Amino acid sequence: MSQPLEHRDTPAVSGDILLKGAGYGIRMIFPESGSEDKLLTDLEKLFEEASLLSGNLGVVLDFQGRKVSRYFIQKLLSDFIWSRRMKILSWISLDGETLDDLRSMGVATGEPVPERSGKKEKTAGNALFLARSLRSGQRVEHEGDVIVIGHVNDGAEVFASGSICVWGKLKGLAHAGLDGGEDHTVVAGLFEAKQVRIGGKVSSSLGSSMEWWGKPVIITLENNSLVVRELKL
Amino acid sequence: MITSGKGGVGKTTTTSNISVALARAGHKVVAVDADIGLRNLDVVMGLENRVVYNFIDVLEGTCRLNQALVRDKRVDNLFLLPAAQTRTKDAVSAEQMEELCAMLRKEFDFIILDSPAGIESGFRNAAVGADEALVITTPEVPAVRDADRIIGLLESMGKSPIRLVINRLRGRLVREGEMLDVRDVLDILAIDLVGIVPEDESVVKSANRGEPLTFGDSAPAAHAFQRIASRILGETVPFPDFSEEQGKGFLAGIRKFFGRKE
Repeated sequence: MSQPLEHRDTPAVSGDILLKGAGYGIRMIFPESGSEDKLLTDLEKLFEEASLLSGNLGVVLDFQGRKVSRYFIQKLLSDFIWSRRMKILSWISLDGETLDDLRSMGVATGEPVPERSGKKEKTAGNALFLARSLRSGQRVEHEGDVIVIGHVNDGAEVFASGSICVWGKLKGLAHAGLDGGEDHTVVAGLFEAKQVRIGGKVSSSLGSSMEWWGKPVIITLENNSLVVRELKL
Repeated sequence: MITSGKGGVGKTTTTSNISVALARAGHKVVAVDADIGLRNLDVVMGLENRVVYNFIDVLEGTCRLNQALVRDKRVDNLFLLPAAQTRTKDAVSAEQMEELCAMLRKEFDFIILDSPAGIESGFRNAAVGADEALVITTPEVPAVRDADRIIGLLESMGKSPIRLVINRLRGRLVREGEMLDVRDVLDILAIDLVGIVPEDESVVKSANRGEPLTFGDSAPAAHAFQRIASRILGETVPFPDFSEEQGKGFLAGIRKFFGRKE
């Protein structure tokens, strides 16, 4: 894993929950060992001491490689996040099962992007809805999200500063996060594209040998790598 | 108009054969070579030695339309309007092509425009004057992608209907999974199919001889072009399945004998 964050050098492997300041707010790093009950008790104490956890400051929950139970996630939600109105920006885990559970909850699981000062979030309320297919040579560029109810054929191009959702086949080029935003997503009802881009990252070596080729997929940018997952609804 | 995007997929062959088939069905037809500077239609139709004027001469007032039209003596009601070989595509404007098509509409039942390859001015000028389009593609990925590009441009120009001819289909390669089949192509291009023409050596021979296949009735491609002409005339003609053996080979013979279809 190529995790570029500085606190990886001094990971909270055991012991206490660590709080670190970051550009987006606070990163709450959970130790990889120790019981979940102890963590819940520690959290109670932490909240008594650190009033800044409640309020408008964004918090990233970083579970590192720890396997987190669904019970623990539920307790976190009910006893801390909802009751204390915490603003959670993202849930980060390096453990596969935990990550799958978090994704199935539909929460953000990527590294948060610091808010760009003076720049409005472009995706909010600014989606382009196209109820047709894009043929070769046709190009759509939009500030915001793009939803194509149709196919994006080979040779067609969709560029969006936000995310891109193609209900039909994606065979052409999709570039989400055109302004460099890396928390955007490309979704395709059937993926057969030779290249896909999110932010400044360009996929390489996509082809029919991939197990998700020709299937519905969701593509995200995680730890500076494009990750393709089969979309099972 | 007959167009394709990619070159070499059979626009001129299709133009000549459909023109002959429509004329043989009793309609007054003119085949117009819109490929200025790279004219071929006169050769493929076997009329090059009778070309005197071309349609640029008509537009520039050097001759009258009737002087530029070359009548095909092999069939009634078939004419060729040749392109200029010594000029470039910039020699005509879109307005002039519209003017030419308006002149021809008064005289003919069908005006078949053989468009140049590409998406530049030559294609656009040909498209401006046309009502309908036949897009030709071979079942190969690059050709299909170019056809998709052309269809997008034709749609944006409001041409309708835009129909598809799949040319040079090789049943054996389709069966072996080495060639896109008709369904794959239609899936990508999503327009109405008007014809499937099988790969046929006699097309090459006929082009060299200057005798469009539809003057005869024997070649498989000739039948295919005749079926396309019938469909253009509004007839309902079933599509044969070219992915099956066309009566060739030992096994096909046995299947045929037992009346079995796979």
